[in-house]
Amino acid sequence: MAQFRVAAPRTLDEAFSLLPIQDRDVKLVAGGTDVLIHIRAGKSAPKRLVLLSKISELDDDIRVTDTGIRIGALARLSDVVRHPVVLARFTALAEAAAQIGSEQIRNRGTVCGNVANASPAGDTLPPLYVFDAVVNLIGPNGRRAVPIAAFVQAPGRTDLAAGELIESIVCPFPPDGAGSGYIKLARRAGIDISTVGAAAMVCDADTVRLALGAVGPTPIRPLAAEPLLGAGLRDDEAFDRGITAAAEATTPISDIRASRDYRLAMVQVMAREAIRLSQQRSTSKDRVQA
Amino acid sequence: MTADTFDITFTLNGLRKSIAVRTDAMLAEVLRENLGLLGTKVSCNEGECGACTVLIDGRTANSCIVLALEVDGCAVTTIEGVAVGGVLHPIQESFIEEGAVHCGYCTPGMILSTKALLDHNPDPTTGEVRKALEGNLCRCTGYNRILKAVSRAAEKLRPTPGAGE
Repeated sequence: MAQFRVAAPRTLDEAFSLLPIQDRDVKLVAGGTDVLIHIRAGKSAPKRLVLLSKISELDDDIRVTDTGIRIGALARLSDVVRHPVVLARFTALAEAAAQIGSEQIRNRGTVCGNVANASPAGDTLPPLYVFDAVVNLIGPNGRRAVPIAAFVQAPGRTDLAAGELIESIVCPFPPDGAGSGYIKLARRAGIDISTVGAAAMVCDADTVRLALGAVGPTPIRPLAAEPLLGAGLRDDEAFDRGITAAAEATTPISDIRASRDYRLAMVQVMAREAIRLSQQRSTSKDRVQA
Repeated sequence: MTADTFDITFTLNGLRKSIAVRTDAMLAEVLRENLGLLGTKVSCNEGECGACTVLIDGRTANSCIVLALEVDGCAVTTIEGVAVGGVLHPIQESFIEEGAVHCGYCTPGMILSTKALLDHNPDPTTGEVRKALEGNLCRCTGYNRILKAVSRAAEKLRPTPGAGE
């Protein structure tokens, strides 16, 4: 009668013994808000779920360290939304997490789970790209750290090797005075998947970082456009060229949420708004005016 | 570990419960079918509508997409645990007084989401109320009366100035 079998290991070693090499029938579950919904909807039919929630070595802490923040494997989206240091220094991440699902979903869903899903529309991903997040993995052969942009490879595909799981995600502190923001375009304000998402950070008077979601197989950091966008903080013409260059780096598809053309038009609007919002939040505008 | 049942012990509406659950059973199913608590409704069964909302350690969750074994060691509150000793909770009174109950299917979830909100934020703005209830759909579209009921409940729950505690 059981649709799937569930294992709730108490230790990492026990978990590793349950994660056979290359078994696509096994799914890891943190909050379960995607995995269980996909099973319900018939989109996936794993034979076994391995729950992370009872593994003693994993935690749900959001810890402030000397160099940045560390988000534990089980840290909930709603904890990120309310965390004072995330709000102050990693504003775009708090804003993105606040716009995922509903309160009920954010109370169960985790940041690390959102990353592990590697959805092109995953809202926490663009901010994590902008903040140069690093994904800490742990497996039977030890630990390794992978930059977020290398970790997320394709829709639903990551660099996670068989037997590995995400232990935490770390983000280094942005420079003092930096401001960031996340703008999400969706069909309605609540409980919707992004049609286009844009995260930006203005680090100083001429440095901009940008990451765009739901306009390619993975979030896109338009690195070639960033110098133009940085110069564009004081030069409207350069800014326009930067926005065009950023849009050219995207490869959106048409799906049930929007057409490719609509996304190409809107990604420019979202990118502009995200950068302007970040600039307002940074203290660098004062330096420009001074 | 992968046996087909799992023994869980948790606090349900203030009382300790121990029960063996199927490892693939969702909390909503266990509440309704094993424990006979039919106040928790199941509607979409995929975490969208909020009819099955319960509180787990004081926070809202869609019990249709939470594995029952995940609440081992937790405190769960269902709509049956909101009224105490047969006396309606001020949130329940307010929903009745404002006519915020139409077909009633969303009501248990609405009330639990309201409780989670007001327990942490006794004086929410309308925007905060809307955000807190965004995961609870009312297909009778009685939202205005529900919003009124929430602010009425907030008023009732706030200590009256000068009345002491």
